[in-house]
Amino acid sequence: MAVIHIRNKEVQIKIVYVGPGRGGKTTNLEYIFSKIRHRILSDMVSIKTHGDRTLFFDFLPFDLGQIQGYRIKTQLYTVPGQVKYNATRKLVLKGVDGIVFVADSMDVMREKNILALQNLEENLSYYDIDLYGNFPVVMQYNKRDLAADGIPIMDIKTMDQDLNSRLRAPLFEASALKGDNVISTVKKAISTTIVSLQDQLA
Amino acid sequence: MEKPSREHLVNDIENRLDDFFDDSNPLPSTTKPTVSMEKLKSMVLSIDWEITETCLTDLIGETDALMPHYQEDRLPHTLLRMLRAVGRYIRLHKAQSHPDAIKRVMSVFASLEQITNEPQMDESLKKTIVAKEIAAFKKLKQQVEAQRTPMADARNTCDKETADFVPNHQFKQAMNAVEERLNSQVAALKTQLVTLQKELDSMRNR
Repeated sequence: MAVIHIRNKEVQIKIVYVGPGRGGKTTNLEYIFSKIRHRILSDMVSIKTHGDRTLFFDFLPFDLGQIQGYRIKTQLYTVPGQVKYNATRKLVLKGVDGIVFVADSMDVMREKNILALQNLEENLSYYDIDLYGNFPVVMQYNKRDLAADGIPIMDIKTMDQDLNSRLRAPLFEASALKGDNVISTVKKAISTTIVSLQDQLA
Repeated sequence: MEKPSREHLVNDIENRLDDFFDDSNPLPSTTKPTVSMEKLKSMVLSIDWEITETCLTDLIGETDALMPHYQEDRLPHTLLRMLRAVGRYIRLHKAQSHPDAIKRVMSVFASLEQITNEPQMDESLKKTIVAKEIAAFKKLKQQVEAQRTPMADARNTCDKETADFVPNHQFKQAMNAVEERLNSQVAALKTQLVTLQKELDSMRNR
């Protein structure tokens, strides 16, 4: 749940990027950081293993400025995608206000995408959050650019059926490496999360 | 939070997000305080007008102060290091400095100003500018080294020559001693001569 300081007129929201390992969650945050680093006071924190994989999480906090008199502080997190780090994933999801699900478009990743979404549902339920109960989620189908390199990727319809048929979340086809639709995704995630928060408080 | 209409809220959020993530109209930087080259520029210009110990010390001090701000930015940092090195060299060697050293100060600063004042400049162009400065700096270094060897030889020869001379006061003492000895010998010879003269006179009388 977001941290709201009524006296200071300050709202702190937490958005977590989840998805299968090597799906591009960290690349999303790195791209966002590269675009906003000149205007934020904070730095991006990444805790990686020797193999350059996210071990604990990536963390990118920034002050968005004022919206309707409230100062909005945003915290973007990623979770480690590897299956073995579920305890960490669960921990990072504590207090989450919004989700970006980064799905890997490669054919070979179909099952891992589905398993990652199931795992997200389980982990959220640990905090009494129903993924399918109007929780703010944005779906990103990443690595769409790989088709140009001849790498087999899934069509949007298949991915929708697998991942978004129940959720009906706003969807973006993206290439985190090239930055395509990365900013659109985060913008949508922030706005959906703030609106959801407003609905909860209303 | 207040309870504005949902549409109004969404609109406000989207406007704020558009502003925040807008590439074409970046907000003033808040990550780093803006670093001004104006102070350094005035120091470089004052050196161009008159080279004094104070000007050079100020120049070196200012490059030292600016360097931490460019710790992460390799290209300006390299130029600042070069500027400091040339400044130190001129301060040490003064009038004996290589005539091209001042030109280097001007040129390095001009390049530094160019790459820091134009953040939109292509990275490869920045690298080319810095590479040219490095090449010119190395050339100056070689010239200075070449100049230094004959100068050192000349200095050694001069030192050897001066080493053959005894200090002035010792020379005076020695001269006085010689003069005294000569005077005493002359006096002894005069006495001897007087004695011989007397003996000769007495022999003639006989």
